Amino acid sequence: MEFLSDLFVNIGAWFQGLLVSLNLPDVWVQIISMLVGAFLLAFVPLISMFFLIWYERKIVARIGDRLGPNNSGAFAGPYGLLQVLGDAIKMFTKEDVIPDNADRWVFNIAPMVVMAAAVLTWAVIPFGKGVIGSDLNIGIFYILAIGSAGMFSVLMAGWGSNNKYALLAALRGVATLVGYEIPQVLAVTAVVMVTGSFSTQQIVVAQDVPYLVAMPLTALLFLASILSELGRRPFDLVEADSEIVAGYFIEYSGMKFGMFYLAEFMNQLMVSVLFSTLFLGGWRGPFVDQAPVLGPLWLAIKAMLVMLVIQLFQYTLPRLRIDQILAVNWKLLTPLALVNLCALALVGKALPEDVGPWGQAGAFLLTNGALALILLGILAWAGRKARQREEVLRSAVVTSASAEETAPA
Amino acid sequence: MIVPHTVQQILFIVFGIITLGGAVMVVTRRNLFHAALFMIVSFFGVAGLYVLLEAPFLAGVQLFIYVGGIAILIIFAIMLTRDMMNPNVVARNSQWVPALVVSLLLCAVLVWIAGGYHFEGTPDPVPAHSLEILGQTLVAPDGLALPFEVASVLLLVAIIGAVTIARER
Repeated sequence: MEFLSDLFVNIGAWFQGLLVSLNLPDVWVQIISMLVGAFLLAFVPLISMFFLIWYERKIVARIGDRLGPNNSGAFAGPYGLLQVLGDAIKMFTKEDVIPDNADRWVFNIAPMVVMAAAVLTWAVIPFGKGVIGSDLNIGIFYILAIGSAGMFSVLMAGWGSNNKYALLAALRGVATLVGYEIPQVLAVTAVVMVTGSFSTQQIVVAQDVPYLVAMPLTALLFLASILSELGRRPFDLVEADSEIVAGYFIEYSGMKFGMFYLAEFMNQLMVSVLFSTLFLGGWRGPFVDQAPVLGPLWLAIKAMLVMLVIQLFQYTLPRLRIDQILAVNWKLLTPLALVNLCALALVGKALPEDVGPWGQAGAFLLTNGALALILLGILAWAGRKARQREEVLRSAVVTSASAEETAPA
Repeated sequence: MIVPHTVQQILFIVFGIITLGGAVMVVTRRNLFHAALFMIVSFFGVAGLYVLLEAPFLAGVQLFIYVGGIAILIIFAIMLTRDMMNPNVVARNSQWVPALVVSLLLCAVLVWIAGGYHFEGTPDPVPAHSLEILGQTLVAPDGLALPFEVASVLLLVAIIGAVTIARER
């Protein structure tokens, strides 16, 4: 029971003990355990894709009043769980097409870069107490830095394909990514400021009250910016099926396409886990103090819920135009994130030391609530202004039209 | 021939090769897009050197600002400039003589400074809270608060200038 309650840490300790008992030099013990850890960190998200792709398909199907993957036609396992396996086999056996005049090196390296960026971020995600790849003191900043490097795979794929639609999608995508990085970083900065640490593990430990409760506006800002970073609706311009077909990876086939597809899913899982870590208390949950083995389970449940929300957005909202997306970012989200950060900093500084976690959370909640009310007021005012302007324009058109009608007579 | 005997030295040599090799490729490629990509490789090498120096925050900043910001900006500039990718266009203009002089001068200054520096003994260990110290130094009135604020004002001026230029009249 003792062993089971803290399973993952104990397995790690057992493995280290095993290596030491083999009389290996210390350096090798360290290197081997690091390699095994890295392998697991890269592999677990990859394997979970089999389940997650099925999960997304089932949700889409239910939203569209369909059944989704099931076992009624060819054999696909109970509830169609094995359908993804069939897709994977199909993808591996497809012909690998490289377009004429493609920039071959860039074209071929892009899928590797996108995969590497998707895998690397997992190193600093805390799965439980002591279950983390590497508790870097710059944790969350590392994720942001790797994310900005991942942008390059988009540009490389778009450029290397020698296809104008791919290039258009890549340019649109990077313009969006660069813009939305700002509210994202500012929202994360608010979390880091309240916690007082970049370390992801520290952020989880500090959440006696989940930050979603303490600063809902910050969480919303973060959610909006990660939706656009993922290229999910309402910000799915990069992929816009009906305009530029499949976006920057339109020319890829076979497993190279598969890598983009997988990386997209891994990023989706990644941001769900990140949202859970930053705002929902990560691996913390009931009974986790008695049995730390529950930590990864809580994290997985929270991430699934966040993912469900992302899917609901994806399959029920219409797509925004590129100018609308950039306008929302620069005119709404960025100023709001700045004001939010300043307000939280002032309130946090003004609070007395001994208010405790709930007092602090209450103060932040009030700040965020006040900000949200002011924001709604400004939006309502701007909306009324815009409608009035439109009304004036329309009446001008009507009068000129009626003037034309009466003129000949 | 230097024989490396610790993991750190091997890594230093690897990152050095990545940095310098990338830099050499940047100036020798005719294809500007490839040159920009090799520049990113070089940036990654520098980030690795920062990690070896136990300055992970600087490594993150290196990736975040140089790869995520400056390199993206350069690639956008390349893509939006007409005839930039045409291999028949001559890749130099009339200013190549002053440019050569200035870069040789810069090289000489760097060699002079680096050559005049004496590495004595082992350096002090990196403090455990280097990140906190860095942050507090940046905002301390007797630390770097003034240059930090001046840099921010400079950026603000640049933003306002960009908006003014791009504004529709």
